[in-house]
Amino acid sequence: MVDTHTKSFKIKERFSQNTLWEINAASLRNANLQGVNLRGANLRGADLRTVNFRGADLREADLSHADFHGPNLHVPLLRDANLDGAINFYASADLRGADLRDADLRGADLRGVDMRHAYLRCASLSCALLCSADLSRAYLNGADLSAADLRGVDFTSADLRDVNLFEANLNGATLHCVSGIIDAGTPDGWRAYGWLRDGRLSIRVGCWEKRLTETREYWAGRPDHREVLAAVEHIVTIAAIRGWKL
Amino acid sequence: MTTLRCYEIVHRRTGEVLLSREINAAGMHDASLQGLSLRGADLRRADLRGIDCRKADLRGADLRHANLHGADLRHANLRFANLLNADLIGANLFDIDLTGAILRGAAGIVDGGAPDGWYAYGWRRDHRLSLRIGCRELRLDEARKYWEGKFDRLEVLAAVEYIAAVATIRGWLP
Repeated sequence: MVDTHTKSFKIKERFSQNTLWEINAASLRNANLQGVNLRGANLRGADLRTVNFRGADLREADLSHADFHGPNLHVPLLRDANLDGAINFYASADLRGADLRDADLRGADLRGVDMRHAYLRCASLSCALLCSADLSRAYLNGADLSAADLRGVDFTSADLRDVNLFEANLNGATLHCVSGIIDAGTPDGWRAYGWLRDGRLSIRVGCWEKRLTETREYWAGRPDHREVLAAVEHIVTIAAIRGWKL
Repeated sequence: MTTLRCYEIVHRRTGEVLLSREINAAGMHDASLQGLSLRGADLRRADLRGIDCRKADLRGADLRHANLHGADLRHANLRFANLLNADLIGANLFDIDLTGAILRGAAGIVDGGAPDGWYAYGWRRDHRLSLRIGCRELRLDEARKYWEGKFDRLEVLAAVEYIAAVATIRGWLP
């Protein structure tokens, strides 16, 4: 990306090689890319730790092996950035402590990505692929994780209050010390948990997502799934302890 | 004459050989993994019945569908291990660390979730229910006595009753 003749730094479109953005510097250090159209940009392996991408369009950009590791937990890095469909994050980008509040990450491939301490308040992660990602101690308050693939995600000590988990797949996810979720283990071999959907308790058991009365009704007459019913009552007890609206 | 064969345990991602041993044809039943470092080991569907795994480091090990029936896992580290559909019936789970472990479908253990941020599970020690919550390993009556009256640990008490309810369903409790 560094042009050795002109000593300028160019960000090119990954297929056409057209220059999208250019700066007279040897690196992107402290660059301000606020609001810049970087759709389809080739940022593979780039050091992006001090770059301001606020409001930038990063759709379809190649960010594989890019380093976003923020110097502190709340740097204004990717705030409001559009990363819808951004590709090639796969198990390579370092997003530790990255500020992704309000970022549009719908459908993004973030499998295996290290997002420890990431700030994802109100981020859109609907339908995102987050399998085996490390989101321990991440702040996800108000984030949309609906229909996201969260299998094997490490959410240890993450803040999941007010997140939308509708139709999300949490099989094998670590929910140790997570706020905003009631983990009831795996009764009859199915993951069971409760969360607040639109301010009221919602219970997920296996692939069934229901309100309390519906859940009780559904599982009540099933003698082969009595463990599930016990889990439902456990979730209700914890919800009452936490003062959640049933 | 005893037939010997080489048995290798490899890392589930890197393929690196973590342990290589010659064992007899009967399998690993009389083998010992005591105190060994088997972090991230690929032990899918392994027949580890009755094996001595005391103090073994099995962090992040892939133990899906493994047969650990009657294994001695005392003080083993199983943090983030995948025990999906593993058979833990009759295994000694005293003082094991299961933080972040996947217990879905595992037999011989009751997964009680994470009340008040601590891992909670129940298992059968000497044919009687034993409960592990955080670092405490107690019998049911002891657990009830210990957690009762602690108003900042109401979730734990709820988990104790939940584990007891599931144990009753499974016929572990009279």
